[in-house]
Amino acid sequence: MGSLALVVIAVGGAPGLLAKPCSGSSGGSSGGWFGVSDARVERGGATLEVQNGRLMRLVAGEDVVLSPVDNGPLGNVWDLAADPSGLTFVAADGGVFVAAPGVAALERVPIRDGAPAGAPRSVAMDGSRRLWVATENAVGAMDPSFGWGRCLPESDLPGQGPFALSLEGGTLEIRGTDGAKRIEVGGEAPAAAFFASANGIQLTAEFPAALAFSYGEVPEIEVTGAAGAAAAGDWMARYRVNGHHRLRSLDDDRALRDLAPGRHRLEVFGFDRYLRRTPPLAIELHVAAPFYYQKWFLLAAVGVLGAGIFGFFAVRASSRRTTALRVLGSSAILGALCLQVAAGIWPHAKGWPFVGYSMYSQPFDPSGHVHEPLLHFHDDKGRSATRSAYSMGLAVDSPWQVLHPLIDGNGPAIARMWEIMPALLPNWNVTSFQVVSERTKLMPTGPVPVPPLVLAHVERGESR
Amino acid sequence: MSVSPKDTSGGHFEGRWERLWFGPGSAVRLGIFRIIVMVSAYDALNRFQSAVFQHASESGAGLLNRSWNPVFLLEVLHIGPPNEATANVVYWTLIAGLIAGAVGLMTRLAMVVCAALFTYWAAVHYSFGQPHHDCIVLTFALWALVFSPAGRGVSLDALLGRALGRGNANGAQPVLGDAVPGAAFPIHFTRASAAIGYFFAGSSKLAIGGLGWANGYTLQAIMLGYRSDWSGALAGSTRLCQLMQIGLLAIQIAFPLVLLPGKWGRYARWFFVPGAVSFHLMAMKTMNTGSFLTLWFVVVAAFVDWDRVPGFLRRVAGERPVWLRAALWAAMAVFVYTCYHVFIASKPDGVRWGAALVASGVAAWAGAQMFLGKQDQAAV
Repeated sequence: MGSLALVVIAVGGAPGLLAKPCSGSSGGSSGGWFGVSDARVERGGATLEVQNGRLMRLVAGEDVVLSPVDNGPLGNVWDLAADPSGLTFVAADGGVFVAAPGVAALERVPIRDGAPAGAPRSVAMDGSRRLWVATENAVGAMDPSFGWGRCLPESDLPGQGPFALSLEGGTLEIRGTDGAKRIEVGGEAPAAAFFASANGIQLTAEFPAALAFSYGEVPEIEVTGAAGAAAAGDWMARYRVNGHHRLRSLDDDRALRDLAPGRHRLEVFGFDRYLRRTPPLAIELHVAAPFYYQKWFLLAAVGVLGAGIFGFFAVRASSRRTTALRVLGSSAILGALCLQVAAGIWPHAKGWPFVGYSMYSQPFDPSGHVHEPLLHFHDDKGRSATRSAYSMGLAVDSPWQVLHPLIDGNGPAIARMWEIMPALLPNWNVTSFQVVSERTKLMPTGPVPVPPLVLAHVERGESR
Repeated sequence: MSVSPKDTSGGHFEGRWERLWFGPGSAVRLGIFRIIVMVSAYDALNRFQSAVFQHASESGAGLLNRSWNPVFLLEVLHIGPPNEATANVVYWTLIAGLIAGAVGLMTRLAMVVCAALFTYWAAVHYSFGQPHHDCIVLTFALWALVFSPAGRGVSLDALLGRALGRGNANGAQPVLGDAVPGAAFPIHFTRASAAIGYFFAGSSKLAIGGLGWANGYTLQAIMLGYRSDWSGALAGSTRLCQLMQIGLLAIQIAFPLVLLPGKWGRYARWFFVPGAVSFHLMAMKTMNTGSFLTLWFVVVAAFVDWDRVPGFLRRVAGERPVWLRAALWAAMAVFVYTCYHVFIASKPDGVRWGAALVASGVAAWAGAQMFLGKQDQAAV
């Protein structure tokens, strides 16, 4: 680790902290030493095995060839990596795929910014759930759910590819045409070597500052290296808003254009070359509502509306025999109905009970996945159970409110989960649980389940 | 909206307007409406209970990604999150108010307590999370009851008044067909609120999602993302889901037709009210997006002419061909069983017994009216 820490400081890279596509060095041998794979993984009573470049699922002697759910190209299958969560990652000519017990198809893992591009030849999963991927030209680590990652510098690689990977504890062994190289990739991330700011205000690790924006003003994130461009180049920064589990790239979304009015928490994380994450730097963003949703405007509008309605009824009443109480009542009734109509036209969540009715009004794009967040539990007898986030007994109106702390490795939240386990699953000796987003792909022929995203995997006795 | 034929004052706009809101209505019907609204509020109170108490006692602190973001109502009134003692006082006062409101004891005071505290309770709940629209109609119904003679029928107040010689104009407990000034107001106001709600629920889908909203995939995605008992079976077909989406849009957008006066409004209610109820039943069985018991109960309470139920049952029991009677009884039995299965059997104990009690009470009342041969003066 000592020599690698030196590398972190000394190696210059691309200036800034933006993720760049990584395809490794040019050229690269086709690798005569890289033989036919016979990788094999035991999962959920079934065996996944590579036979003659095809991925087979063997269940009670019945062999099934697994192929991608969209019938896209898979190509030759080279390697398998078992995830402690139960998933299996597949390196094939067509890309990185994921398989899950009980799901009869493979789903492609998207290769995004910073992750090694090209045809994967070898994969390995470490205890921190980083997926290490080797292609013909590059080696790197990636987030197994969302596909972004980092590539190792050429100095970490043993000559030319294709490369093969193996992991032992926190040590990654990379084999290439010029032999093998072992590097230490475990442990905590070193202290962040960068600063982050939003519109000039510094993000901090503790007691985050608050920054107010008027409506239409767009917060912009800036990230700079603490020790100059050389140190900065060895880091990648990603950010999230309001504790979301998906970390966004500064390449695409440096400006936060889609922030709704209200309070938000911006957090920026640094990732070193081995994809080890630093604690976040944070800031509170207060985005003002447009003037027509401001309290003073709404109160004034309600006042004007009320006065107008009252005036109407009062004038009409002067020529008729009616009571002042009825004029007041009529005004209140018509006013309340008008406000309900106005809320229907201009919905606003804070205006309750005049909030409108705009929920579930977005059409679903069938090219995406349907996500269903759940908790999976496993015991020492090989049994599995599934429960919703609501089973934790906490009152939430979105399951993510209770799942995000678990995904973040929040100690009290995980401790509570273990505390309630005997009540949740009596007579079970639960050894691990996972936060899972079950996924379904909607095809013209009907819904097709695809392997889930495992967003957190917690073993008994571990914090995450 | 139906207008009592007994009130004939005025023919211009103001006259029609005042007859609609301040004209006489059935005290019995208002009493049943009041009871059902109280039970619905009890259901909503219990659904919000754990959230408010957990935040008040801070038992979820550190375990949840959630913060206090007050709705305008609380912000304008400078009302912050309650502590545990405040939450307890509000909760138990509201329980007492709901019980008093349901049995009709000190009804006017109970209505004020229920409307004010329920609005506060829901606002606190929504200030800790995302506001939803399932309790909007209920809240307006509660406030409308405040300004009505809600205790004049089917109430202990009416019984006590009769015992003490303070009954209606005839010195007796109101019976079917007895009209009381202002009794129609909460029902008409709740109907209008429900119509506005359904119309904008449908038109928002078209305005925001366009015609593409009804692509079948949207409903499939909601069903599979929030699985419930029948999700797997019904989400299997994109075409079926598309048909359901088109039907849903049609019912929601055209729902205000129920407000038409005269026979057209009556015909529309026979189609759209069962349509809306079916929609809520299907939503509950196909997507776990929250309880719509509240809205379902309030809509039924507002749109069913309770005065006419005994007459309807009598006609079904005795004046129609046997096959039609059998079919109607069978349809009602299936409907009642489905409602029981969906709304009562799956609820926590307190709500189950509360709902069962109310359902039994209303059924007993309808049966007694039918078999005791009371005349339905307002029958179709």
